[in-house]
Amino acid sequence: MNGNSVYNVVELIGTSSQSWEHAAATAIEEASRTLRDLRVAEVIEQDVLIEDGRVSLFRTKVRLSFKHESVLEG
Amino acid sequence: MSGPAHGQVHKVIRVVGTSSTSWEAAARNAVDEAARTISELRAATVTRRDVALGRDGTLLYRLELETTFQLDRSRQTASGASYQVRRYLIIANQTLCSERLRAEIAQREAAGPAEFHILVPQAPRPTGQMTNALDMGPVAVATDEDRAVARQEATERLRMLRAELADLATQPTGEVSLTDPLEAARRTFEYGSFDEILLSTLPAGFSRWLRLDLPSRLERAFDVPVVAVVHDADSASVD
Repeated sequence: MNGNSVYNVVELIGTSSQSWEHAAATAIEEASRTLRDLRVAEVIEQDVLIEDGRVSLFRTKVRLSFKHESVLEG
Repeated sequence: MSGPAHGQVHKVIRVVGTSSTSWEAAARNAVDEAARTISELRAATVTRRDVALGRDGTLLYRLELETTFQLDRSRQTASGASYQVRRYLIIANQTLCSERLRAEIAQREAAGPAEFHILVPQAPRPTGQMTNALDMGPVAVATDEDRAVARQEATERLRMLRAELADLATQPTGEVSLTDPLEAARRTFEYGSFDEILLSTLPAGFSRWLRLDLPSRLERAFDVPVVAVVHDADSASVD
């Protein structure tokens, strides 16, 4: 994040029945469909959902930053 | 990533799971263990993780999870109507699978919405010996095997009672504890609250629990009514 740039920051939660890694990848893949220039995704929270006493879903919350593009730049 | 609903009282607990393969397996282990004693778990958040190095050089993944469960007595039906439950703690071991106890449970179930938690305290019968430094002769100690036997026996009794109570409106939760009943109950009260304790014992002459005056000690310790379900003299072992 050097230079005189402005970045947007969004938080997303990805889910997976297998692992937190897979949950994070799901969130990032979804974000990359609409956002360009994704650089870093920071894991900020992980949890599990529980159903009938068993882990049913792994969830990873990631913070993504991407370059803010003004209308003039486009 | 969301909190309790408005107006409810929840208790926060932390559990630690370990696994030699992955964080995910560590989380599953922690949740499986917690769910044995606490029903109604919905979600758990990772609060801490570290890696321990085992004696044989393998890695042990350790994960701390924070979770909450509902402490108050209000429950909701599927249609959203609110109602209150009464919570009962059943403490029993030798007399766990008896007609007498089942009748007491059925009576409370019939009186209104109820939740039952079964605690089976089973202290291991020590077969090992240890000589202490003061030369006071050998002292009996419980070996790992004694503990395994005690756990297996108690778990089997718990499994049988839960199977017999399968038609209760709310499935009873249950746990086994390898300590004396008072200490075991203390741990149970750490994560739950109860309106009444049902203490199931052997007949007066045979019951160690009654000799120790366990009913009044429990009542003093936790400030809830204790009902002693004393069985008839048709069995002659100890609690």
